[in-house]
Amino acid sequence: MEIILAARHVSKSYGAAPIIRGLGFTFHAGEFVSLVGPSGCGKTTLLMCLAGLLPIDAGVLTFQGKPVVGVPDGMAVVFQDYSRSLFPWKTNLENVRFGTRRSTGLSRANATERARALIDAVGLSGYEDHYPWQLSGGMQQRIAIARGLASQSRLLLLDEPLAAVDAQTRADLQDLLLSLAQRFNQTCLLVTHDVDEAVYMADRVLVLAPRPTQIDMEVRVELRKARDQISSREEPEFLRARHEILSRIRAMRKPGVTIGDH
Amino acid sequence: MTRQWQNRLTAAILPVGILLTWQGIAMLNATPLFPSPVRVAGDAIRYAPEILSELRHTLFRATLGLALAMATMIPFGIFLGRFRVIGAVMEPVIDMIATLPPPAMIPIVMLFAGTGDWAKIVVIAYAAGVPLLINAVEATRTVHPMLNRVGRSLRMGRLDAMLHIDLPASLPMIATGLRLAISASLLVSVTSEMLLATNGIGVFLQKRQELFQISAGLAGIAAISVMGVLINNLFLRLERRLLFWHYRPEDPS
Amino acid sequence: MIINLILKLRLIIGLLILMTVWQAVALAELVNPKYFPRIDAIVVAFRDMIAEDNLLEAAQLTFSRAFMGLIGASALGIGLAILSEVLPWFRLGFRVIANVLLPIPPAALVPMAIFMLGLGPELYAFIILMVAVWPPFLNGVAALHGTNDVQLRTARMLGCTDWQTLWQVRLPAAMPEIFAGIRYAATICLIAAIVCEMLAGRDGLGFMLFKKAFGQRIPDVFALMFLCALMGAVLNGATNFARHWVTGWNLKMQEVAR
Repeated sequence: MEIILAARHVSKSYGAAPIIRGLGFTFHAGEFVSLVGPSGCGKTTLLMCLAGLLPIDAGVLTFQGKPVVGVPDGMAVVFQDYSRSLFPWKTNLENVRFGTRRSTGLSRANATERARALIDAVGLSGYEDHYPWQLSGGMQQRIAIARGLASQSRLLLLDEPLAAVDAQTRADLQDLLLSLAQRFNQTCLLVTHDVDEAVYMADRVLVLAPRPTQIDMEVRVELRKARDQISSREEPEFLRARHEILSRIRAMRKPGVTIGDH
Repeated sequence: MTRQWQNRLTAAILPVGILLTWQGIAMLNATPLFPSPVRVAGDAIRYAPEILSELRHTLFRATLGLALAMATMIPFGIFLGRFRVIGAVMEPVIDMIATLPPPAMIPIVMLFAGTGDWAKIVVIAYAAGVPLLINAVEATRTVHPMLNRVGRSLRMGRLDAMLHIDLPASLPMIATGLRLAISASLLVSVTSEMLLATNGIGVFLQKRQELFQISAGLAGIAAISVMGVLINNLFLRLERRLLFWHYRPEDPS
Repeated sequence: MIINLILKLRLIIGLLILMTVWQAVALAELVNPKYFPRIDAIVVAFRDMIAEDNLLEAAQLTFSRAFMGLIGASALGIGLAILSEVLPWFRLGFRVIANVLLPIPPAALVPMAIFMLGLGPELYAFIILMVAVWPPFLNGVAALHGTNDVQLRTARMLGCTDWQTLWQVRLPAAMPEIFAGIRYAATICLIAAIVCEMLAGRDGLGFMLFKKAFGQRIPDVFALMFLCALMGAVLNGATNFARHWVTGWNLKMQEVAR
């Protein structure tokens, strides 16, 4: 399988404080990977670096074989704060269409058509000419996801997209995201603090260590591709993965535990 | 070189550039009707005593007008803010009166009160009173409702509550209104002097115009600018010091 | 119930109260009736001035000066704000210039300006621009500088260059704050126009105000004052209309948030 995103010995500091140190991984095309870690470990900083929004201080970070400098073509990000990320002076349709900017050579008519189709795919047909702030939080995030899919990027990064949404809506959005990822064969990297969500959504879960962070552990999730909110969460495989990750995170909170030993 | 000094030097590029260009053009043209910055500076020094004495009059009237406005409009604003029905009824009237430009008041005040100090002080008080009143009303209206409940739970009378809860809580917004009022009072003081000429820096400027003394006139304008900058800076520092609790940096959570 | 009714009709009630109190004071001659005319006297003065003194022409002059000045000041202010955002040396240097020019009242500039520019439209353009450009400029600088981080990251993520981000994201996001400055500039424009007319002494409402005052024609003066206030309201109304047109999304958004 093709390697989409690769990192080796990546480090990043804010001034004197190291946030990321010696981080490495590889993502392959078609995967759905979750990144989970304790609060404050630097998940968002890591995602910003992976997206090219923040420069790394050391190490190698490549996207489709080329080093990441600035946000590369072929990457899209769904931010946690949808109320700021979606532009309030644009309608939903205009917002999603704005996401096709990177698809050069796409005529305006085709871009509009693609935007409409995506709004329909996220279940918001009829709301094209509304403004984002006229919609509920969950609906706004769906528009943001539609915009993330609009440029048909190789990799979609999601920064705790469901953190600001209520539990009920969160479940619906998780399933929507999974179905969209399958339908459009979209490689996804989901950053989340919710371990259940991380296991439910992913093929692989990468567990981050506390600051300075790196990949502490990798857990494969061997669940069926067709996930279900009730039955999947009861399967032994789900519970095993969940147990492993939660124990590790709990252990990492205790002092005297070195990274990497488990 | 430290960042701060680097910034200061960069900031100097544009103003210094403009001054040099101005000096250059003035030297090429060499007419007294287009004085160079050097000449203006010279006249500023020459006329300094006269300018300062005239500024004293201007400041004196501005201060009285401002004090009058503060003493009347701040309590009135708090009152209107607390007694919402009266405030709501008065609001359109206040808005209407607020659309009247202060200079438009000057002729009628002149007819009532002549051209002396009090005529000017009344107009200054009107100009300063508008932002004070509007801000005081708005500030009292938007006092956090929790504070009201605290007052009620402590069984404070209406007057007590106004004094001990409304006033401190609305101080930041009132301070902003005060800043606007201060610059308005300085502005209107100068303007009123030019229209109701007795003394003051406005009269100084007009005399320079009559005598074709452009350079001295520009010096007078510079003096007004310096006075305004000093007073505004002073007030800003005072505001930051006294209202430190309002300007604390946001919690980085 | 009654309170609700009062709140709804408060504009009319306020006006009626004002007019009633005025008429009562005038009729009771609490103030020297020479200085406090009745409302009907003011209305008559209005009518006469329209017929004999070209009141409408003067009003139109004043309004057009203020209005054109406002448009010019807004455009200039926004342009200077963008320039400040793009060129750091300009931002730092112009702020010094702005701080120096800000406290100068329009009236103080008029004598010198008359020297250099005469009494024509250039005078008004200069004076109004010099005083009214600051609110849109200062608000523009603050708003452009404080563009939200998430919006900026989103723009970069979507492939916008710095230049594109400035025009397609930062400027639209800054418009609500810029328009708050334009509203403030509207009042300044009217004040500057009237002051200029008073000092230039040729035409317009400002000139008429002093002419009538010197002629002791009190009802005329009050009528003119009312007209000035009305003009201020019309100017504010026009600004509000533009505000709804450009930043209507922000106004509706704030309503939703309430």
